[in-house]
Amino acid sequence: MSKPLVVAVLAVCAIASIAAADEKPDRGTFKTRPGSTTQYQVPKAQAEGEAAQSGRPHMAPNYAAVQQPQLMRYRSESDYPDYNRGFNGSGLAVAENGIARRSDWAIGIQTGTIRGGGCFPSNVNDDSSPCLTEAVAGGGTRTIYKERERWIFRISYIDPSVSNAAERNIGFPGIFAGLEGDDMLDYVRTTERGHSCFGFYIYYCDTYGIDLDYITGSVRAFKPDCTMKTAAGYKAQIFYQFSRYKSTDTIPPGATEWEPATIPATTTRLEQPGRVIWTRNFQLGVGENALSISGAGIVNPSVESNTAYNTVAPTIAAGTSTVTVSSFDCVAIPNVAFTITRELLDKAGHDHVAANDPPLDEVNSLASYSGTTDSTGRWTTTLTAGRIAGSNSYKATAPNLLGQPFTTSAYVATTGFTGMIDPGVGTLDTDIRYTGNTEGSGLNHPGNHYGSPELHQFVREMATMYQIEADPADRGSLGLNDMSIILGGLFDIDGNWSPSHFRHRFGTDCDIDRRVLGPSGLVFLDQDTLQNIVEMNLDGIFLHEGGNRMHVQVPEYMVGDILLREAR
Amino acid sequence: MNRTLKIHCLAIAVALIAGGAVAQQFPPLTISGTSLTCAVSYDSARQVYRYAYTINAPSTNLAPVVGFHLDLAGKSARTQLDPTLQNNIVRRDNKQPATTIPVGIIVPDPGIWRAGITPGGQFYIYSRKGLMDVPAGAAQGGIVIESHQPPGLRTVRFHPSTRAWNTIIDALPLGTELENPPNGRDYIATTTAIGPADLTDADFYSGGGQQPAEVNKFLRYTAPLDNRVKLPAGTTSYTVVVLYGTTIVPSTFQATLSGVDITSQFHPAPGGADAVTIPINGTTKLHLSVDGTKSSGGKGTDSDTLTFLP
Repeated sequence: MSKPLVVAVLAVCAIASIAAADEKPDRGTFKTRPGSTTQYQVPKAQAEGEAAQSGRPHMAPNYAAVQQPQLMRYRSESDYPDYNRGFNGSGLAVAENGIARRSDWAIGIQTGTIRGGGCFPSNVNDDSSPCLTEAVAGGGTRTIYKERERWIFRISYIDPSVSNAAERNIGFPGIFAGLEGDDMLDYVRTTERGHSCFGFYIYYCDTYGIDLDYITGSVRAFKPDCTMKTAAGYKAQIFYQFSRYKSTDTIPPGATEWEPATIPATTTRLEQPGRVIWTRNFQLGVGENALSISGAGIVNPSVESNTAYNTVAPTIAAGTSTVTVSSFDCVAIPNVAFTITRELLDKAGHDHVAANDPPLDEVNSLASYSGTTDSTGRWTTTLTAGRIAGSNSYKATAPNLLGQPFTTSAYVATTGFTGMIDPGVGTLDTDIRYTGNTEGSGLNHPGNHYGSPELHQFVREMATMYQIEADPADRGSLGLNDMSIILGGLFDIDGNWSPSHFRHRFGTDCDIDRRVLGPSGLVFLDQDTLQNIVEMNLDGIFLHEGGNRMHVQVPEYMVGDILLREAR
Repeated sequence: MNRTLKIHCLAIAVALIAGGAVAQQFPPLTISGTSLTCAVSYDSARQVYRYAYTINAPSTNLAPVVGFHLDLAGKSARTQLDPTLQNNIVRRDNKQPATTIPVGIIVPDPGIWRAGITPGGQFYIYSRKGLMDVPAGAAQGGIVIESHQPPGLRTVRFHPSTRAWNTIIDALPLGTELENPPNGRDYIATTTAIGPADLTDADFYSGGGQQPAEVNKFLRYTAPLDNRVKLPAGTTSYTVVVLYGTTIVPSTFQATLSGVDITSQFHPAPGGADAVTIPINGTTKLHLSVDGTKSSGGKGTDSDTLTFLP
């Protein structure tokens, strides 16, 4: 039994089991069998059991009935179509002689509309020949129609490095391992109950009395593996055949059941079931991560100035990470020389009015920017954070990876304290106000009220206690000025990448305005009372700053927890 | 925030000196000699220990003492506001860890003094607006903590007043930012004091010597933790913390210090405790003894000699 026939039988079995369940498939979707990657997209009207417009009669052979066939590579499972969810996939089309990757989750043939029905051509090899007619008894003629049609989808491989290499069918998976073969879609003009329908849908056509003359999409695919050569010689094809006979008809002696006739297989070539209506030659390339660069996504910036937390962390060391370059595609690829390039990807809250970029080393840097992988396909170096928050992108480029230049996907290393939040000032936060730069745009640092959750709770408790302890004339909402920027790190007020705001680095510090907003307007804050609340009631840190302004910090015992979360 | 001037302390000093200022910049606020003495008494009826504190600011202090933090970290979770313990202030603390030792707080004048428990589980006390800051050479008593927990050695932190700095800093132009502004925490004086402690048998020293072991528990100590104590050179006093067993006979208690009867300095009561400061003068021997009832009903005597070596 040839492989196409195997597939056909399996499809019939699957349909029988679905029929036993007596459930109509989900709107717009049909999968042919368990374990198959094949999906068909059924027009909405048919799927909802409505009487659809029949495709009959097409007074033309309809050879070009497969719209938008494409060879697609699906990099991950989530890229694969799921018609049941209305998702047509997000695969990448492979051009003629283009490259699909061995790391792809699947490679397949995806189509648009496929339409069945039409008359039988008078010349089976001529698309434009008129419909075949035959004389009928008693005079006159009748038009002959295609009673059955079938589309065969195939992906095969011929090793170009071997003379007279045999063509090997590599797609598509059957329900049994090792039965990779063609995928077939068939259509009948008249079912037992008189409906035109695609084979996978006959039960529903007959049960619900509908015709299904076209489908709006289809897909089938195979998963490349490490046994497949990375070379040219791969080919995707769609074959087409039609028959003037029903499956129950007796084929007259000398007649051909299917046209164009199947060309039998040879010792080096697979059989050709009819006419090739679409072909795409392609190469299988090494995996997308045959050369890769990886490391920690986040490292904490250094804080080199005095934090005032003399016991826990008077300064904070820069975060580091091991960065690995790996050359591996099914097996290790040893001794691959490469260089690493770096570019700034994000300035993490620095929106300097003078639109300059930070020194990249001040964001993060590598100990080395070139190397050669070892016998196991590995090479490592160290990434070290700077003092400025932001993201750098790193790519490794090998001039010769198995004969071809190759550049990795980007590894993005972000420097920052990533757990800080800005909850804003809620309507119930009547004891505090945000002050300073709060416009949100046109500023060097639009977000400047980011802090640890501990800091936000601390300043709220501080403000609440102040309303209790202060003399009535001194009461009012406290103005909370700068905390930290979005990912912390250097807070350069002047936008020049030089230190200022020395302690506003990791979400533990907040400036307090010298005046509170009371019922009668702004009045000077009672600093003694606030200092006692911060230092004694809350065990925090209180600093006087010039011009009667103040600076508060969370208690030292909280900093250990904060750094446990933030240091990496 | 407006444009900030980055000014280092040294630069400020230079500028002010050049302008004729003679005051020393950010004078030190050393208060390292400050101590917290504690008189412990025991209310047998309520089973409550009373810790009466006095802040002692030596004349060598360079700044007034604002107040102090006393560690109350415990081991077991307890209801924090214990209705059996007295307060004369409004207690607003409710964020401390559940394992903080519950206390009652009595201050000299609730209109002036502020006290409570920090979210970190420390007792704090200070006077409003610095009205009762303790100047060098002065003392401030009348601070009482009540607890069901017996005495042990706790960490205490004294805070200096930073008022001496404020005038200097406030004179700086608006927007001035100091890279390393003076921080009062740098002058916090940390020492130990007697306070409520969450103790287990392993935390006590029994004094040794007697059999059966239950007799040894008629007198137990959290200070010292050995019968021979080597003291730092120059030590002139030592506070002994003794806890009395629940079956002792108080009238049988006797105490001598290097042969001199000092029984009257102790207040033995079943389940009670004392923290008594004794003078150290050369090798000093403290001898304590008390009778008690054993679980068998018989009598026993616990007799301990503690030797202090300067």
